[in-house]
Amino acid sequence: MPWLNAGGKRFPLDKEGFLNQKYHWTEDFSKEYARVLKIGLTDDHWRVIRFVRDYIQKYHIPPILKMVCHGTGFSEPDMQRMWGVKPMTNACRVAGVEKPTGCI
Amino acid sequence: MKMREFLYRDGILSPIVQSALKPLKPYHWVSDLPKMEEGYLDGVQVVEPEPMEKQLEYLFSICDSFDSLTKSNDNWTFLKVLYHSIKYCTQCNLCSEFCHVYIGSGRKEIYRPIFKSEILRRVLTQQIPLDYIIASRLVESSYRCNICRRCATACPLGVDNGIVAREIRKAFSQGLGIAPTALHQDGTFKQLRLGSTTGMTPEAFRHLIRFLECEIRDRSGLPVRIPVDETNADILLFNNPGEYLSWPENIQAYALLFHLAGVNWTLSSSPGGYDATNYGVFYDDVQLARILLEQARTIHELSPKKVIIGECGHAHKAMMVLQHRLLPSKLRINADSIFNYLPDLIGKGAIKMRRQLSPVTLHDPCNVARMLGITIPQRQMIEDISTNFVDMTPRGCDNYCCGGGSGLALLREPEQEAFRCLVAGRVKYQQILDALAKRPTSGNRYVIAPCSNCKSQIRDFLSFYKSDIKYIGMAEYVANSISQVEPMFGG
Repeated sequence: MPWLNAGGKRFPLDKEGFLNQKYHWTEDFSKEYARVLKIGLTDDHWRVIRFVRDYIQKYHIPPILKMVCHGTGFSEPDMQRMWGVKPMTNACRVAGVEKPTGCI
Repeated sequence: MKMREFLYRDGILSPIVQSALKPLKPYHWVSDLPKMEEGYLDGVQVVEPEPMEKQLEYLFSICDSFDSLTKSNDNWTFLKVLYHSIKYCTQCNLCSEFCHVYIGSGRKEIYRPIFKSEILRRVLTQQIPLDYIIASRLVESSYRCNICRRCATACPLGVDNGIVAREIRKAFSQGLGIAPTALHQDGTFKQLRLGSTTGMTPEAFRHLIRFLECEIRDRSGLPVRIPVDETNADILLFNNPGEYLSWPENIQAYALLFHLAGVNWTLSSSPGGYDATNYGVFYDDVQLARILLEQARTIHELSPKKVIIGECGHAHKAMMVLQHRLLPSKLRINADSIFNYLPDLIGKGAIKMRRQLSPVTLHDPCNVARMLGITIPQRQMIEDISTNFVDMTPRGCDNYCCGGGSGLALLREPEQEAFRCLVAGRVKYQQILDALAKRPTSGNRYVIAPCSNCKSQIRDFLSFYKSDIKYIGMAEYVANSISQVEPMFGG
């Protein structure tokens, strides 16, 4: 199983590189994971991370891309520029939340 | 001269038949059994227990679970098919050339459709002793089959090796609790606990639908509604939750089409009412019945006149075929397919359509085409609204599986993704390329994938092979042709 060392803590990841909900997320985790994925974290990125984390606290699944765009004011091409070809996958990875399962 | 030599000499026989005539090499049971090079599946290893006394006990329970396949009390659902398939297979290997996994793997012996059923036959008839290695590789090989049942259409005797693969999965799941994590813990279990295989709770679903309703209103400028939990509606749209999360434009497209056609429709937000998936179809009869019962109860509470199954292949199988065999008559549901309903709706002429120019081809989900035989209505509809429709070869009931069938598209480990794209999805990708190569264009080229499972598989292999072809759902493609609004749904 892969893992990530950040801020003196060891975070186990699943096979697709998502952090399990039962481990406590820290800001260091996001910073370190973004460095590994070669994403330079800016305030815009943090806005997305906070939106995703707030949403999952309330509804227990990550928001869809359209919702993130609506909530943060970025367009879909903006999100792709910020997070790569699969914006929600990478945003969920860095934000330390699991992706939904099933036929997705 | 012997007949066989004569046929070989003149090259009369096609390579397909030639391979059928070649004598099969004798198997060395342990070394030749599928040792999967593509990595193990999460949750399906048969692990040998540590203490000696437990080992024998565990081996007995493996034998018991195989035994239960052959008893009419334990396996009344599929015993007949299993019995005839095991008994009458003559190993002519005609089905091999019909199997996309076998062709895609470069004709590897272990991917022949008859391979696992032959092992099962020998285990059941006690020609080979059952041990851990055979058991673990047998279950592994059953998850390398898409259960598309194309091989069954090729067989002159009607032997169904797809069902045999499913029965192997069932023996391990019901007898020993061995099933992939993605199908069982993250699938069926989550669905029965939370209401959806995606982990989406009813609150999250209602919030999502409200958001999508507002969004489609803004974009189309029409007072489109997405009704939820309305009693006495004419139709209840029963969709795969993957459509709401990964392809939310699908439900928006339906909302737009139904709004313009003036359909009295609704969605349900009760647990069991917004998730049409039933992964029990893939691996387990008990879970299949549990979920089906839950869904039937929820639908009866809402009492719609008709249930329309959305773009989801295995939901068609569960709700339109299996429910008639499993549910008591008072719980049965009046279900119809969106593949019948939508062409009817468009054909009535309530919505003004314009024709689309970009080249498009249509994929047939196995559970809709081969299982139910619905192939003509959707074709006629798309031919009517597209000037550039080109069909795949073969098409309809003979169409190849996308390579993600029977839940393989849900297995997201990197090795599984490589297997799906490199082996299982190769034939489908070739088919799409061949179909669209006839219509070169500088604009977009589309493949319509009207099933969530097929959609995620086709998305994965199109990006794997770095193709510029776009995939799109059926509803989105049709909604793009509405003349009243601009095309707004992307592939």
